[in-house]
Amino acid sequence: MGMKAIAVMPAMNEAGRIGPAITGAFKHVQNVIVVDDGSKDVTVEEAKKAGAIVLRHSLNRGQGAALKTGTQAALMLGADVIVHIDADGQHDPDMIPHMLAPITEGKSDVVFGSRFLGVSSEGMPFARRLLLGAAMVFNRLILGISKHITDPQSGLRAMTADAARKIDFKQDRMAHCSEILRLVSRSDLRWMEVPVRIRYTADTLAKGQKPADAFKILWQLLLGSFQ
Amino acid sequence: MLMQLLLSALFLASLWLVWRRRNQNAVGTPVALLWTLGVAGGLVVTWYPDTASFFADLVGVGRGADLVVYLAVVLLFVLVFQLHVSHVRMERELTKLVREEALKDLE
Repeated sequence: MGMKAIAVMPAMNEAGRIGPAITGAFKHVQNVIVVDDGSKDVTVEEAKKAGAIVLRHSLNRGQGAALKTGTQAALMLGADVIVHIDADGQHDPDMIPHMLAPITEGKSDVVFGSRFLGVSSEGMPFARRLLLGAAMVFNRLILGISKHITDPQSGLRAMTADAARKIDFKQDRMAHCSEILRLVSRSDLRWMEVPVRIRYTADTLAKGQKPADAFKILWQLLLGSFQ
Repeated sequence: MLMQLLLSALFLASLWLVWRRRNQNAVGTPVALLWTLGVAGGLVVTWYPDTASFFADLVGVGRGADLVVYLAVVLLFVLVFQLHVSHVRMERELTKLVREEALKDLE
């Protein structure tokens, strides 16, 4: 295809999960950048063993901050397309070609993976589904994010290098998802959603976001708007 | 009487502190003047509580003491919020620093 695609994986304490995630991603991209966000386990060693370029945050700065570090690194390495993907294996790496296709075909600048476009996610708890619905209403009414976006907290996304330079997100922690959606849907970038499959397991759910985190995200977005 | 003396001492101490900070260039003149105005208001209300009642009447709050409490709550809210915002700003500076350090590994 001729385009250089680089995957960016923010990671914190993902030992045991990150290895397969990197190997899976390597089937579809030329390089994988792991940004270790202050792990206390052997995440870094596993990531290096799997062949990824590993950058380290000396202090935990949050998923959004790690994503931005990784994105900047990918741009420095001359990526044409950058894929944001989780390190815990929730995102099926085989979804990457579906994310890249609209970009390589020149149809889109940014592609979001959506859990609500027909492909059913494995093991998504009802509470999570309910919360995402509420987040979507908040995004539409308060943040003014396009109502055509079906997944308000999708972490799987792909973008061209130009788009990555334009999307100057500043939220260090979990609120970056909403911030990126807001920036993209208000820019002149062409964007679309493609259906993706997410695999929830007891392991990843225990480590992932809690319902109470929704309030943290609201608070961060509110404070962020005063910067 | 004791309460009034205590409050007055606190007000005057805060006034002294504000102008000291002003001389150290830690706060600007407008902020210092605003604080002075606030402290002056506090002193007036401390020694002539009826003035608070006058203003309370003016804005339709029952008692002068209530008005003082309401204003204090609003002021505290603003101060706490400012503190939060400056905290977020500092966090972002920290992130920038950590990011620069991490990206050095790439070079």
